[in-house]
Order: sequence, then C-alpha cells, then structure tokens
Amino acid sequence: MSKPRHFSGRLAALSSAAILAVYAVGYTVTEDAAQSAESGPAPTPTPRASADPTTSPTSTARGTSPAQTPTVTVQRATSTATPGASSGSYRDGTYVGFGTGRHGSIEATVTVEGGKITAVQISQCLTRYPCSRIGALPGQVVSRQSAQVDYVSGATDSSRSFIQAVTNALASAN
Amino acid sequence: MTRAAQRGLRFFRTPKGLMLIILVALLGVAAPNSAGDGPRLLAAGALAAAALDVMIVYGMWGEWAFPSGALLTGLFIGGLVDPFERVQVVVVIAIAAIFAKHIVRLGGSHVFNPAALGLVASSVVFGSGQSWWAALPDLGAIGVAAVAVSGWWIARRLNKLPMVATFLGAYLVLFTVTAIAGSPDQVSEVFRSPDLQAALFFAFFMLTDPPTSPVRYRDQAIYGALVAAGSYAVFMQFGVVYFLLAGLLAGNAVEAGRRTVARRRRRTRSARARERLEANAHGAEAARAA
Repeated sequence: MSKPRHFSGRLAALSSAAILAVYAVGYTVTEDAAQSAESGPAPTPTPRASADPTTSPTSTARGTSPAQTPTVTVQRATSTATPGASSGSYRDGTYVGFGTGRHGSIEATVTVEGGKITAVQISQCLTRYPCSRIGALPGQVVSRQSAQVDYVSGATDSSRSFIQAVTNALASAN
Repeated sequence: MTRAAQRGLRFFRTPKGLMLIILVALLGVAAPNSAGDGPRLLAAGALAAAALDVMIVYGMWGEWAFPSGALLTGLFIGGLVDPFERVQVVVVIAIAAIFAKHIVRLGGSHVFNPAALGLVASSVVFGSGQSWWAALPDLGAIGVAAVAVSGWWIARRLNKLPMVATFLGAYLVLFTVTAIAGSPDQVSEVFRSPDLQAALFFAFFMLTDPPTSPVRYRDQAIYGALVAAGSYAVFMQFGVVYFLLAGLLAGNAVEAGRRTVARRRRRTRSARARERLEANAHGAEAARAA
C-alpha cells in the first residue's frame, strides 16, 4: 500500500469532528466554573469617605479579552461599601491578605501606622500574567486609604484579586 | 519580468513565503484592534530580527540572503508579546531569538523555535507578558474562523496536519479530563477566548515550524501529543502564560534528541554496510589469488 502524500480528507474530517466533540464536552463541563469566575469572587472593598472624588469613570478597553489586550484606561470599581469599614482607622500592624481569581492568586501586605495605611505591597504574584499591569494599585490604596481602587481595563481579573487581597488584609486590621 | 521579480514570486509560493503572507494578513486584521503599541512593537521585532540575521549570515557565509525566517520570528514575537511592552525589550527578545537560532544547533539545524525561546526567556528574565494579539482574540468567532481556516490551509501545504490534529486532540482531552475529574475552575479559561485563539494560532503556525518539527506522520503524531502534554503540565504546575511555548520548547528538545539518535543509527548502519562490502571485496580477491 502506498503512503498517502497528504493527510487524507476523510481522516482530516474525522479528526476535526473528534476535536470539536472534545472541545464541546470541555466547554460544557466548565460552563458553570467560567460563569462564576466571570462574576468574580465578590470583592468587598472598603471605600473611605474621603476617597478621591475627582477620579471619574473612563472608557473601557477596546479589546474584550481580559488580561490580554489591556489599555491604560481604568474604570472605577463599582463595589458597594462595607458597613463599618469606612472609617479609615485601622489597628497598627502589618497584615497579609490573599485574593484569588481566574488567572491565579495575589498576596497583598498592608502596613498600618498611626491608624492609617502607610504601605501596600504585592508580596506574591501568582497570576498567569505579570503583576506589573496593576503596579499602580498599591499606591492608590495608600492615597485613598481604602481598598476601593480602580479596575485596570484588560487586567480586570488581576485588579479584582488585588482588591480582594487588600480587603482581606484590612479585615484583620479592623 | 526580471529575474529578481521571478525569484520574489517564486519565494511567495514557497511554504515560508505563504506563511509570511498569511501572518502579515492576520496581523493587518489584528492591528486596528490592538491596544497599546502592537504595530510598533511588531515593526521593531521584525526589523531587529531581520537585520541581525542578514548580518550573521553575511558574516558566516559571505552572502546576502533574504531573512525570511528571521522576519517570521520577529513577526511572531511582535504579535505575541504584550502590546504595552517596551520597544527595547522587544528588540532584545528578537536579538536573543536570532542569536539562539544561530548558536543552539544540532546537525545543521536550529534546535528551538527562535520566537518561542525568546518569548519564554523574556518572561523569565524581564517578567514580560504576552497577549497573543495576532491570534485575533478580540474578534470572537470571526477571529477563530480566520485563524482556523488560514492555519488549516498552511498546515496542509506544510503537510503537518497530523501534528496539528494530535496536538489539539491531546490538549483538549487532557484539559477536558481535568475538568471532569473535578477541577473545572482551574481549566475553564482554556476553552474560552483568548486562550482558545492562542491555542489554535500556536497549533497551526508555531508548532508546524518545519526546521524544528518532524516530517514522518508517526513522528508528527508523537510530537504533537508530546507538546500537548508538556503544555498541559506547565499550565497545571506553574500556571504561567507561556505554557504553550514552554511545551513547544520541550518538544523541540526531544525532537532534536530523536534526530540525533536517528542520524547516529544511520551513520552506524552505513559504516557497517561499508565494512561488509569491503570484507566481501577482500574475500573475493583472496579467492581469486588462491
């Protein structure tokens, strides 16, 4: 029997059908997980009364793929305030919190001195994408004295994880 | 028509020329939707890679050659890297990729896919990200169709469809089994944009790189499955964005080893055949003398 010069049409069609079938199964099985990841781990940032009012919502990224085609524009986090957490007064100390999202986890270390947040650090970046994209967010936590920072368009999931990490850290400081 | 024009036309009918045309077309579609500095990074990567390759080839062989492979490498780097990356970093990635192509060689051919090596190294060294914007992740189903149709066509021209089919099959089976086995949240993104487009683009355009991938169908099937397993392992173990490229590098290394072993076996076989022939000739001579 002579060896076919090209992958035969029938074999190609069969392979394609098999690949599509496996993909359909995988997509269906992960549907719920994807939806819950899309809605996020329900961040509960702690907005402060004196949060910078001049930062207004801006346009979002042109791209639609999270953490993949980011733009420099940011949009305001639209989470609701947590009652009792908006005083801006915390117990002194260093607190660590974890936030987990679709693309991995972030550990934030928050330092409180004199009842105020003086330093925030992304102490561990375990996300698939570099944390450099959300590098401005720790500074925003310090300037706003709150976990209510901007979501970075295109790095929405990482922003959400960071917010969750800071929120968890501040929960220990309350 | 001049001889140069005829040569140019002939080049664009070769698999490499066709790949260049398709890649430029995809990037042309992707560029208007690209955030950041995508097109500028693309130009920087392609120019740096091509210029260095021309110089190295001239330095080594004394010939001016059109740097088609280096152009492809530069386009892959520019089309996959984070569009917010600094231009200098992209130039460094392109230069490192071309140097690696000319230095890390076995049996007259480079071992690793240069673009994959450069991008993985830059992720490790500079922490640079990847967006795979050339895979049209922003165009949804249209993007998937464009990558799949053009990719299928070029893979067929390269005669690498078995490799693509086994890679995609094994890749999806591994992640589907993981989802069924109880970790759907860990792998859900693999089945969705932009990872889906990235996997398709990778399978059709990067996995099939002729110098670093096998020719025989059986070897193609093994290679495709191996790269899928490597990518899956890196994804599950480290969760890094370059899991596909890391899987490809692992496959490249195994393929280079297989080629080396096969070459040695061929050499041993020919040496034995030569010895047998010489022994027969001596025997015949001795018999004639007797």
